[in-house]
Amino acid sequence: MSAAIAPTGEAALVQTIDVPYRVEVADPAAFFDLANVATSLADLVPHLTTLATLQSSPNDGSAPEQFTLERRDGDASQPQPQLRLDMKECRVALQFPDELLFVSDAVVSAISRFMDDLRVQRDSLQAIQFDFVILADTQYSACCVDEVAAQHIAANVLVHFGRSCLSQASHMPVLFAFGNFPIDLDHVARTLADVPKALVIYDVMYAHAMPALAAKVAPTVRFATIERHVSSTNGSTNYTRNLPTKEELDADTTVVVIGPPSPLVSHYSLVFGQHSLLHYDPLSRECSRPRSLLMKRYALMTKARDADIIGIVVGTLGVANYIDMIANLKKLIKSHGKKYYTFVLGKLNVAKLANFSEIDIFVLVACPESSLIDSKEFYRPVVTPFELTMALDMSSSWTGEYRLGFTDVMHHMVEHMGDEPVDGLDQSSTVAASSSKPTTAADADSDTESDADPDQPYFSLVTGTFKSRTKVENNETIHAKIQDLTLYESGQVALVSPAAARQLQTREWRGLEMTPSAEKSLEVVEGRFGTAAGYADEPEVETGKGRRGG
Amino acid sequence: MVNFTIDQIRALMDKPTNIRNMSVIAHVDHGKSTLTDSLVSKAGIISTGKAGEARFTDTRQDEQDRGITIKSTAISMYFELPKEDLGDIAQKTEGSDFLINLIDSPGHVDFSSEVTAALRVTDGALVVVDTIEGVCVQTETVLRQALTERIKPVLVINKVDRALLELQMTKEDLFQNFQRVIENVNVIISTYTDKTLGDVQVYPEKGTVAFGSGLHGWAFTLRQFAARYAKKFGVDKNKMMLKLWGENYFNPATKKWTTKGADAKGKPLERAFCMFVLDPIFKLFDAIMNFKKDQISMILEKLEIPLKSDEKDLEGKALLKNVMKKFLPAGEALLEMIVIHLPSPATAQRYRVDTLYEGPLDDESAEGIRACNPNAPLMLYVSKMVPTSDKGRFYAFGRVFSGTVRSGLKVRIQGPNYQPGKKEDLFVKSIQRTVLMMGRYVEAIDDCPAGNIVGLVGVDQFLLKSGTISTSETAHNLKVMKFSVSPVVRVAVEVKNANDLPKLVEGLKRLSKSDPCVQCFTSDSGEHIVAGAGELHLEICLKDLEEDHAQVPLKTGDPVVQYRETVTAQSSMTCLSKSPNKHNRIFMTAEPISEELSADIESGKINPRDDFKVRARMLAEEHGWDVTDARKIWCFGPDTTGPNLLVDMTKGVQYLNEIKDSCVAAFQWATKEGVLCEEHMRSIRFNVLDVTLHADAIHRGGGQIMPTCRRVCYASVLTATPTLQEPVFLAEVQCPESAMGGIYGVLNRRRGHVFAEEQRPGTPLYSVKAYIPVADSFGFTTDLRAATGGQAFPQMVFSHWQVMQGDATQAGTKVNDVVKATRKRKGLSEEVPALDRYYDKL
Ligand SMILES: Nc1nc2c(ncn2[C@@H]2O[C@H](COP(=O)(O)OP(=O)(O)OP(=O)(O)O)[C@@H](O)[C@H]2O)c(=O)[nH]1
Ligand SMILES: [Mg+2]
Repeated sequence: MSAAIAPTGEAALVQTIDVPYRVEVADPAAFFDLANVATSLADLVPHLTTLATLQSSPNDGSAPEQFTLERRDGDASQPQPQLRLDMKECRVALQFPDELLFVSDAVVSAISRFMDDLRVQRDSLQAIQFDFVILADTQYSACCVDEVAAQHIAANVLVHFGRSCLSQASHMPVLFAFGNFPIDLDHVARTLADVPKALVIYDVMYAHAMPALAAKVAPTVRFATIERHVSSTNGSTNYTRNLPTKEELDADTTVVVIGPPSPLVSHYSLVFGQHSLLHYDPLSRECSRPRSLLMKRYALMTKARDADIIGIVVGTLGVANYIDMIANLKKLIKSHGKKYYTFVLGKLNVAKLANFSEIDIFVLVACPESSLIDSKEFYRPVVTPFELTMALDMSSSWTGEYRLGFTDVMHHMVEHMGDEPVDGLDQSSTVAASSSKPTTAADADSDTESDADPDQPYFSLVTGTFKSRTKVENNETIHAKIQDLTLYESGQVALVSPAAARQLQTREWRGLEMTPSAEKSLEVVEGRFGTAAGYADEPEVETGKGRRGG
Repeated sequence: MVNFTIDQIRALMDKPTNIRNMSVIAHVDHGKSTLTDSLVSKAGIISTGKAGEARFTDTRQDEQDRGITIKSTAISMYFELPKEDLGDIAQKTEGSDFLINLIDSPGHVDFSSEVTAALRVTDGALVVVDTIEGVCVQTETVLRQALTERIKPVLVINKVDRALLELQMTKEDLFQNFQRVIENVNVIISTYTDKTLGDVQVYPEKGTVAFGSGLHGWAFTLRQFAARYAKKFGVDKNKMMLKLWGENYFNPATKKWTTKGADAKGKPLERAFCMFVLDPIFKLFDAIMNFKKDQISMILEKLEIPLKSDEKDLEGKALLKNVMKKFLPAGEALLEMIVIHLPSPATAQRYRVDTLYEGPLDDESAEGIRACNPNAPLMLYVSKMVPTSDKGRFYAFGRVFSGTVRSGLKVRIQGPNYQPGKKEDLFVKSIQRTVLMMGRYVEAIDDCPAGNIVGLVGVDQFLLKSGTISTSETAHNLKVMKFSVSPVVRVAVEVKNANDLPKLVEGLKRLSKSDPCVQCFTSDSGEHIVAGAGELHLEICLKDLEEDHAQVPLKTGDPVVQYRETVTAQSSMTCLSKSPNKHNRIFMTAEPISEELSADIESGKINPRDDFKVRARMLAEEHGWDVTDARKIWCFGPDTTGPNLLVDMTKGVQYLNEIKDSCVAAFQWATKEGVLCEEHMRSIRFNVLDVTLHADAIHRGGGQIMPTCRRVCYASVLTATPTLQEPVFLAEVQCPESAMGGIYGVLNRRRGHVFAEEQRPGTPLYSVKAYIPVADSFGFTTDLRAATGGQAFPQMVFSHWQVMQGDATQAGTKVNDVVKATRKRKGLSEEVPALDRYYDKL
């Protein structure tokens, strides 16, 4: 089987977070090492437990907040060691990125064959019926494990195919099949010859070739190896990248990223902002020196500092700790007297965020690789939690360091949140207990600015003028205060929400007009037929094929 | 020098009728600081024990090294007018003691914002003009600024010694020269004068023009000579003054005055000014410089100039200086002129209140200002920040217009964006200390009443550069100053060592405070930008930033120019963009707006706050717009005030009012980051021709409309022959004829074009006026000096935006190169995005 998928169109308008890449797969079994996958799967079976079933019905997508944002009780995050010995059916979710969807069919048949073989060899598997379900069109980004989708189909285990950001999943046992993507090792080795002192960071799809590459290059070239860990409790696998710390890395080391042009490159251009960076793309066999995004991100931070209303965009429902991260962000924002709104929007795009034009800046909670949004097309910038943390802390002296992983960032938040406890870092019961409570009014009062004069405006680097530290009240505090709706003289009823009221004031259109306007109403005429994409009275567009309606 | 205790000074401050707040303004190098020095050395109030050295007002090391004033500096003087002269003061006075607060301002164009800040706190201006160079660009600029602030001018024609010593002018030539200068000054005054000020032209015969030499410390007005001759001729002093100027001649034979230049027999007569005023001076110069010993003593005797024994041995210039200083002491003549002819705060605030105050002219604050009442609510304008010895802290320098400010007083600090009734940009704080600013020294005082200039401690944390301080809750702001220069030249700065970044950020804040005009901010690509009025201004700012404000090693990029994106034709077709969900469409075209209209919008003559009907009439009458179109302007942009317009030309579109907010937001965004290279747009009119919207509100939300409207704006620009406008400087160069060739050479190499060249009558100097693109102006000064052996020195000030030739999207044009270079610098892909990214087919 062989196929190629071109990058999807409309990239201009809709920001795609997933990186489309072209690859030819002749033999899926070899490409994904399916024999191995099958063995791991078989090894995993004894660990499988009943998965926490979803509280709401799987089809009810209307209120995602209900089941995604609420912290799940302790039992779910720690799988119960209760074995389902009577398990008859094991449902395996196979998650494919869009680019690899074309091989999914072949993969299913191949893996079923391997399982059949294994069933012959292992008695324990005899009774179990393996049921494979293909997952595609991932909710957030294809590099992350889509646990929600897997849970909707009540899968017991998930196998993730293709490029992965290696973020840890929160609940499910997961296996990975990165795929053996082709790479011209001799060509890479020649390229690397120019940079004897290098740290090679490679995308997972090229992990298979790295030992061979190491043999071809100078011994001074270090590799940020990807290490596999198998959980002893549930048999799930996860991977970590062994990155040297800043101190371990000499200043003259070149950081080489091998992989398709992807957020991975941007990511490391930030983390190793002080080093020279080389990007090698095995597909195009091109080597480039990408511009560091560091200063661009810095510009966004200065903008974030001036924001009064911040939108927290939930960009993952799978990455471990994301709930803690959101809770911490809320605390952080509140402690700086700013207002937040939380958004769950699925895949991010320009149009969705532009619906909330009153938000000054968005902070995206997502896996490290999909957090970096080049915001040019977005009406308001999108920053990462780390950037927001740095931006909000006036006293912070940012000197160019950069972090993206949740745990990393939360460690960092500790230094910037004063008295507020940071969720999800310490597993000690006290912290867990306090963080599982919804934020209470007590938190709101704990504003302690030890500055000389708390009113003192600060110098905004965006406008080059002074900006006062406006305190916007958050909903909790407002709701606590409101006893009645306030009746204004004009007879309008309004909630006392200064932020919202202020926004409404700036709008010209404030909803239906109560006073009938002087303008004469238009006469009723017969309208057009069809949809705006092509009305009935319009000439047929010649592009013809591939044109989808509405 | 007058030795005063603080209490004595403070006592003078209580009489607003006897205070004169004045600025010294002029073209660069016309001798302001030198003249100020000669005044200060006579009358400067230096509190006991703080005697100063030369250059009282050029307090910075680089000012002394470069011999150029950079910051304006205030200094106080004491003057006692002889009792018999008090009658000449046409305004109310109490007693004969006067407190003169003088601000020496810089003359270089790049620092004109300092002049603006100085003018705001003063009521009168001493305009200095070099006899030889005459009225120059900056003379005009600062004079215009003074008049728009309702500042009354008096004139001093300086460096007269050069006319005598270097140019060896004859008396009549010198008179002609003086007259020309006065005429030129008066032309400017009458052009910009404000009716409420009355006739503020300057007249030698009224005593509002002085002549002298700051360097040699002498000066006179006709008053001094009139006083001498009044007795002799037995006429009234004021009548005598009239005779001493213009077409008045004295026939020594008949001892009769006449207005004809010849006697009955046709023999030419000598002009009275030459005969009575210039003659003694010429004789003195001639005798002394030609070492005619016996004549010298005779003249000295006649003029009643006593010499001390040790001075008798002096010769040549030294003697001349000494003698002239005694004969016509500059301090006396000038201070007299200032006290008699410049308004006191009590006088000036009565007419200045209308232009100073933004609020209703009958509220308590306005009344307080009008009456200069120390007991009314406090109204104080902070015009600039002066660094203290404490790093990072500043004195807020300003003028009390009403009430009394004292240490510990709780005040309302109103920033430039404050609006009465709102909390934004308002801080209620206590004044920590009030101080008197005297050159490089400060003295603490307990309080400071209306009419005086003062320094405040503890305000700098709440105001960046300027603002209003009041005690009245109803007080509006005092009008924000309008600068004649804009920060068009920018550089990016970065730290050499990443760990110093926080220090740079703090440094930028301090720099921003310390200069009324400089702007510091970060660009979208994360660069720290410092923007200034010109190369010299930037150079000084960057030096200050590195050495004083940030104190860390810095790297500076090349200066960059800001461009404006514009169109030169109507869109070649109606552009359409569809919303992401394809259910909504916007049809639009773009077309250019006339330069006059753009300029009117930028100057605020036409602005978004006008009543739309009034605005429409103006657009129709003055700019040939269709009235219906003109009434349907949705908004100005960028930043809601810029010179681009979004015009609704749709007919009967349903739900249109719902999407207006989104369209306005998109328009602001698009005009701020243009499609060519993300520069601001300028002079573009966008016509919304038609809009199709989905019937369900959910499908025509902001998220659908905003990106679409932005895209269609871009498409409209791309189809309307887009190009850039580049900023252009007006350069004026003064030089001798021999240097002209060099000037033309340098200008040619820099795309400059000369549009005026004239010889200054009676002098060997030529004045060349040229336009030179800002982009080509970097290093112009240095080049010019090199090419002319240091004889030519340009003054450059932003003049206008000039459309660059060609289509910015066509490769090979100069403008396309600029676009590409700008895109590259900003980290964008080099090619301008293609039309199909924004334009959707039907
Ligand atoms: N011959 C002569 N030279 C003068 C006179 N006044 C000033 N100068 C010289 O002119 C030059 C400039 O004098 P400044 O007083 O610094 O001029 P300025 O107007 O303060 O200059 P800026 O503040 O830089 O605009 C100096 O070299 C002075 O010595 C004068 O009356 N006669
Ligand atoms: Mg000076």
